[in-house]
Amino acid sequence: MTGFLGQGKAVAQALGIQNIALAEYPGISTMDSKDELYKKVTETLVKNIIGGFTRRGEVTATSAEPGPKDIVFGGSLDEVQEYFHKNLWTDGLPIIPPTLERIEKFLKFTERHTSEIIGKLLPENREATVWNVAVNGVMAGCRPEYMPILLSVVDAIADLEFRIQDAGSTPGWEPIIILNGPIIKQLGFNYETGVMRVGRQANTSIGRFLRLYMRNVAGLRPGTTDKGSIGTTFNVVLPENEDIITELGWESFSVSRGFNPYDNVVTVQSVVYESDSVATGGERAVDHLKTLVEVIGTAMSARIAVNLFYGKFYPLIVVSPSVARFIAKEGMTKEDIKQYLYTNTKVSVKSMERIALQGGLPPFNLCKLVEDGILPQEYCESTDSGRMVPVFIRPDWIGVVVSGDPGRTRCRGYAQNHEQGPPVSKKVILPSNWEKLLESHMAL
Amino acid sequence: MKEVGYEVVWPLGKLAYRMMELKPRISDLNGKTICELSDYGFRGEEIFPIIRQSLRKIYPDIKFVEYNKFPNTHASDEAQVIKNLPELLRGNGCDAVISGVGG
Repeated sequence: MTGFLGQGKAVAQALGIQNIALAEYPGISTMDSKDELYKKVTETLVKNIIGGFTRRGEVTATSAEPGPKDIVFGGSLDEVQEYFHKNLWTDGLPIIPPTLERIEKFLKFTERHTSEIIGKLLPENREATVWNVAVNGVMAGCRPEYMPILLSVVDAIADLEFRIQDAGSTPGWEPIIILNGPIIKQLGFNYETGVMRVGRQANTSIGRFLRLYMRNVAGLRPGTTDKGSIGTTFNVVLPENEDIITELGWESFSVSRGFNPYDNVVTVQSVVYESDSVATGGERAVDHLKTLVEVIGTAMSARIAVNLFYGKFYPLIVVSPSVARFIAKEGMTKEDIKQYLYTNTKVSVKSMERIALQGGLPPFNLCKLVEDGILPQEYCESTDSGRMVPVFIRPDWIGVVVSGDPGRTRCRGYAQNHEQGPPVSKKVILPSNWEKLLESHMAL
Repeated sequence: MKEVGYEVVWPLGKLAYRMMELKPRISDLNGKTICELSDYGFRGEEIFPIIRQSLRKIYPDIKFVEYNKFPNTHASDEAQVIKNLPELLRGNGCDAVISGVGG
């Protein structure tokens, strides 16, 4: 379709095919009548296909690019901003000029080699290195001591499991960084009121860094490789309230991901939309859980069709500390929350099929997906289209993080985008002289 | 007071791909085998048959291996499908491929 030609060319170029043959279907196929579709295919698309088979496209000459430490520009603060805006190296906000001096301060906070290649990030297929993590960290307004976290974030998105190449897909998802470990307090992260608002430097600048890095090194820019139709913008870092976790004897989010309780861990996953922040209440834990099902569970069912089609869905539920305390009083844990949500949030197959069709998904059969091992048996208890099936594919795929205002009862659900951006967790590696560095740096 | 100047580096990373040469183009599609790959979306199931019908009018000896003979290129096992594709395409004698629908 016309709107995807730019992305097609850019993606092909980054895979080494500079003059790929793209045959344009003019317009949007899903919006056309049968007659319009027939006319467009026979009069335009077929000609474009024949052209692609029989003629070579033009090869555009590429220009040499600078080395990592080359000075590409010198000027005043305003002049640097203009230069970065012109080259599309910024997110529209002012950046801190990435000078060699500033970058070196960041590099003091890691023992990883400057030129270490962390990964190659699609769609633009550029190398993610320790050096350019520091460059973008400077630009985003991070502090040098955030460098170990920045590196772990990039370790996560460079992991092939994360599928960074899908970050420019139509739904316009945005990654979220969940943080666990003593580093939360060491670096002054907010994990209470307004946890998901901009304001605290640590939460905000690291969230901004990730989006800037996806733009500059993965090459995700709106209109070309980023086809998020409406899109959303960067999420600030979400730290868990580990004081409450310890008080309740609950498993932290990172422990549920397989790490030790005192590890510093980042988890990065996609968020395609969020639910209302719902106030829960009642005399019993189950009263709170019922409301979570009715509000958050219902919200999470919006994209059930595509989640089931791909057999993947890793939603994140942020639970208020006060609600967590209430639920824990009855001896319940995070596992109980997950199990309750899983068991009680269902939708009819008929409803799911209707959503699938409207979303442009091809027809699919749940029982076939069970047979192919993509979905669990619960999705084919019968072939009755009126039957109810779980919205959450597996209870252990539901992430629960305790965070937010401890003085209120608000919880919120974050819907993850099926196989795109599943949760990937990485331990934060601190330099051996971390405590000393922190002390001397913060004393400045 | 004179404003401070900044000497800055660029924030991108080194390009990690090598340019590939496209295979020679096909001057005549008669006698050629065209394979279809589909992501099973965006009305490909309507579009592909029309393409076949139209191309057959122009190239009567053209052959097709239809998209349902190949796996979905955009499903949950996409990575494995893509990995196996070269062998699959060669095995089906494909001279050229139409892959769609991009959207």
